[in-house]
Amino acid sequence: MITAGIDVGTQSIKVVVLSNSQILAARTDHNCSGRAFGLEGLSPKACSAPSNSSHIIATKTLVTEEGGAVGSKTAMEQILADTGLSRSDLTYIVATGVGRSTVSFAQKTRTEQLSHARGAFYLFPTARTVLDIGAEGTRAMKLDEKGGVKNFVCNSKCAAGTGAFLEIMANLLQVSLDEVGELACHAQHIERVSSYCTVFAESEVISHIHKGKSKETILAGIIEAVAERSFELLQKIGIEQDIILSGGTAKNIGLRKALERMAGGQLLCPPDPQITGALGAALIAQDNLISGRR
Amino acid sequence: MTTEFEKYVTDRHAAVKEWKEKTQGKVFGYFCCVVPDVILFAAGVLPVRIYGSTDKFQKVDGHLVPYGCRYVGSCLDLGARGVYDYLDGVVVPNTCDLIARMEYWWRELVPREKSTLAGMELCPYVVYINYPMKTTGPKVLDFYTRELQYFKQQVERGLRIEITDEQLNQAIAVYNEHFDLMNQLEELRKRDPLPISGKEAWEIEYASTLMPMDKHNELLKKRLNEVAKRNNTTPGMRLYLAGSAFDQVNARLYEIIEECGGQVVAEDISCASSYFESNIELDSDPVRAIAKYSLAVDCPRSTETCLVGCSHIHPQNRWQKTKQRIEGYRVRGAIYQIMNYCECRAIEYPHLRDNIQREFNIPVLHMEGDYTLEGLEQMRGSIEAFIEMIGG
Repeated sequence: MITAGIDVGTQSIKVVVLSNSQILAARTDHNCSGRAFGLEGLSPKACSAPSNSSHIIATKTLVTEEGGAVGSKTAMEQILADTGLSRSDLTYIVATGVGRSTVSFAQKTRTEQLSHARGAFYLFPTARTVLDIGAEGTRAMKLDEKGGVKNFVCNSKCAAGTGAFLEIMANLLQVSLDEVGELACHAQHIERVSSYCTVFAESEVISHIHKGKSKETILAGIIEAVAERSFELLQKIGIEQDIILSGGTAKNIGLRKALERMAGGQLLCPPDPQITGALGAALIAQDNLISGRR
Repeated sequence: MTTEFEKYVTDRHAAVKEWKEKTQGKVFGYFCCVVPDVILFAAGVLPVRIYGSTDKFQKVDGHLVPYGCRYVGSCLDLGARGVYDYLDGVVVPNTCDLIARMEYWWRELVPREKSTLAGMELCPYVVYINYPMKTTGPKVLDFYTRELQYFKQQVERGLRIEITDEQLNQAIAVYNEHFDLMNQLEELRKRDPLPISGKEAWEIEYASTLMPMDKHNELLKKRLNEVAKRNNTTPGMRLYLAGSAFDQVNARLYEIIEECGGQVVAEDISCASSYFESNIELDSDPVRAIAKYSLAVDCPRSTETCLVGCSHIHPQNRWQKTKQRIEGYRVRGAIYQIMNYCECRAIEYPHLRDNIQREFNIPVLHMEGDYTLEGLEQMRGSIEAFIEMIGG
């Protein structure tokens, strides 16, 4: 039984192929525009979670440059080529993400909330709260002991406090997104930045630059702003350990540390948090096959 | 084929103007569900609820406070642009802060020549009703009865007619019939499988705020007979919907919920069941009977805290009403769509959410509305996730 999950986000498309019989195959792929991710550490075992019968065969991420329909098809074709599988080998495909409805070849769609929760619970069966910080959407989900979503909250209409916010600020400070977290960790203090409007925050950052503040301290302020917005969601839903951080922005070490400080405890994070949604979708596909719910 | 009810949803202004032209009658606009429209009906006036639209503001931006909700702004903008020029009067009650100020704003932005007799103003074009801040207590009914008597006098002077007790009692009978019929509709909505969609039920109620109530009653009787015999059912996750200003703009949410696999079976949306859950008890003084009924209308604006000395300060009256609305409908989730700056709804929400979760063990979804179709579309993802979550 081979299933696939495809997560069509606002900035990237993530694909995960799962099998319940094949041994985990780690692979790293690169494409013309996007980064691909190694699988080391993605298995439940590596995440200190009990292993189960599912194994990830491959994952792929493409930066979304085309429409979801074309991009998802390209991503799927590439992962099939990489793994030597054909479309007919995939028994069931579930699409998730904001562009999920554009994936014509998926048998079913599932929202980001359920997919991220499913993926996070697979990786960390002790997960009770999941915080997904995506490119333009942040969501907090509360899980029960079986991994079912009990409740969730989402960010409101503004993208302040999301991955896109961080990206805009990184561009402004002329640092790469990957550097943001690390640089912020070296800050001696924090230059406060407003967390409620991306445009106003941009003006504040420019003002800090003009005053000669260091990049590190400004970045620390930016990260603090994102963390505060995300933490509000956690507070709204009620924090229950273990808290899992998912979504691409979770890779930011500075953000994770800021959230841990606010939450007063450790936040668990998969090595490649950006594929948690796609993984969850592939797992939902597998669940559906097992339960006969198509 | 467009039904009579749908006609009012698609173009309410044209439908009301058509009535006015045909009958040469008077039309008064009003805000909120606490206004005693039955007095206007008794006077032979067509009372129509004032609603907004999705049009961009053209006239009101310089007048409204920044924390004003978009619904109020939209209603006023339509007035200022002349869309509501067919109204012969406007009734503004003291409900939320913004609506209460509508008396001033409407006079300012929709000016009319005063109707005078010997230099005295007969009846202002915009009539204000001082709906009491506290709706319970020993003197409230006396106070509000006097307010409504004054309101009645203003209407009588403005139209140069007398509204007799007999006319009031006849109007009360028509309204009570409406409440009974709407309650019959509610009973049908309790059925599982559901014979009528949430959107269709909303449409029926919405039309009743725009057309003569006796005509609405006749149409509703026919529709109830037809719905009761329906074999085709309306599937979907049974949901409770609460929120502010569910006119033809926010009603798009009913469709979005249905498109996501849900179905609204009960609601608290500032008209609908808040309006018809009790009848007007006939009394020797019909105005007093109307005042009593009007004070009992369950509006979140009238949320009451306990008296001094109580161990809790939560709005128990609103919770009791919410409980009544959910019980018996087999609801599996509750959705609150609260418009930005609607403090009446926002203040009571945490208390109602906690009680719903505790008492009914169902999840509650909160969404911020901004009275735009784009804003409603953005809610689609959350609604879909909510329904998926309940469905497992």
